[in-house]
Amino acid sequence: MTKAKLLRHYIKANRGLYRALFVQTLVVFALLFVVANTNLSVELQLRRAQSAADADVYGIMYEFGDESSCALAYESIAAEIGEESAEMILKSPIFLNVSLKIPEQAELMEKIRVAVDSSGVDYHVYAKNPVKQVEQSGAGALNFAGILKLLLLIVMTSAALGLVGVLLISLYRREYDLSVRYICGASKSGLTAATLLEYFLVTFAGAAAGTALGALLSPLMGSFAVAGAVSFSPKIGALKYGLLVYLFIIIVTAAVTLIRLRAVDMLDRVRYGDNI
Amino acid sequence: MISLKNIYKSYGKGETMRKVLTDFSLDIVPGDFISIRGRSGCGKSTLLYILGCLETFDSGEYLYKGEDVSKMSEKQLARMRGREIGFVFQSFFLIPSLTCYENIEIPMMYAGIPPKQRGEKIGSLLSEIGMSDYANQKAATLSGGQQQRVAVARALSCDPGIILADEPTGNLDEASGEEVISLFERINRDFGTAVLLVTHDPAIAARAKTQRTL
Repeated sequence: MTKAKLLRHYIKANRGLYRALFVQTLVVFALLFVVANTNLSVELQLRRAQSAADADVYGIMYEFGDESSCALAYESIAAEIGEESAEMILKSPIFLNVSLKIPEQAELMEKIRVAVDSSGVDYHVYAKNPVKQVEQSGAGALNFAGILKLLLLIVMTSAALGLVGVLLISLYRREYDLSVRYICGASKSGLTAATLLEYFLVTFAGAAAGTALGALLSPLMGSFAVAGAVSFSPKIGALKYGLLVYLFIIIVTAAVTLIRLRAVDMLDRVRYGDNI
Repeated sequence: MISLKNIYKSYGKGETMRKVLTDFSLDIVPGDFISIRGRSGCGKSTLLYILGCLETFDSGEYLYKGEDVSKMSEKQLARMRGREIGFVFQSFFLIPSLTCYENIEIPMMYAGIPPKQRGEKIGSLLSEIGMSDYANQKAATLSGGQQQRVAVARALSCDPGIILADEPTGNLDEASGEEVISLFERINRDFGTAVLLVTHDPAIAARAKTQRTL
């Protein structure tokens, strides 16, 4: 038996409680990542749109003199950049709305302009406000993120209470074992450290799995945006909220464990003849 | 090896204060087999906890191999509990979810004994207590007598200088109790390990080389 084996033994012995702790942490961190990533994605796009250099980078609206001109321009754009790079919507027979599917490829906008010019038709361009474009396209995702934020608050509150509950139950259950280990030569500080290590391992596993799940789910937020104008690919920046929450978990876990174990009289079980 | 001088211990404060040990002195040398008897609440178990570094005392002096125990740090006390002292309690105090082997191994793990050395020692201890076939059996599945024998083996795992036994036969039937006491006698005789036995039973107390009453 090694201390690592003993650690595994106790995680296995408390698997019911630890499973609950793992799932709680996983849900919190998955939601946290999705919400943080959504906000961050929209913020990022807004910042880009606000800079003059990025004007008209996302979409453009053309008005043509007749239907055939519109159709010609449509084909010209499709031939130049392909339909997979931009979404083209005929708002009416003479109005063509073109939006980039991947906003980061702003240089494609120039190719679109060249393609329409080369088709030789007359047109009028309706300049779009890029900030409004992002606001509009990100609004759906932000609204959904708002609902998730509310859910996150509820989940985080119940998870915080759950964490304290799990810790108290787990500490109460292990008082006997801790007393035995204390009598067998473990120090109280060593036992506290070993117990904390168990909690940190379980919550860290939950946090890591939750963050990974959040990163997987984040791009789905694009479904709530218009024409994918805002990219919701996972961003490193969203991790900072997770780190803050994990720091909070460490502080709460350490405080509850230290206070509870400090109050435990290792001799109580011996005095009162607690038998297995 | 152990010298207790003028030990005082009380619980509570003011009017509720209860004096448990008053001016108690005791010397223990290797090979001693001492039984302690006394009425309930006279401080027998408290004495054992003080000797085992599990409890502090109000005043007096406790020297272990010439070293002042009251000045030891938490880690030194833990090391002493693990390496120098073996405990046997009335309620066995084994970890039920661990096997016999693992229970015996715990003090050795905290004492930093290498795994290979542990294996050899545990094998010989299990053979000594006649439980070689139970090495991988969970402690919870053993009878009271078997659990107490495992507890004795655990107490011996780090070759301690003294075994402190608190009513070790209290939860056992007569035959199992006899086995455990015989085991203590054998340990004391064969290894020279000092044994301090707290008991209510005059017959068991009489088996010790020295009898003290509190």
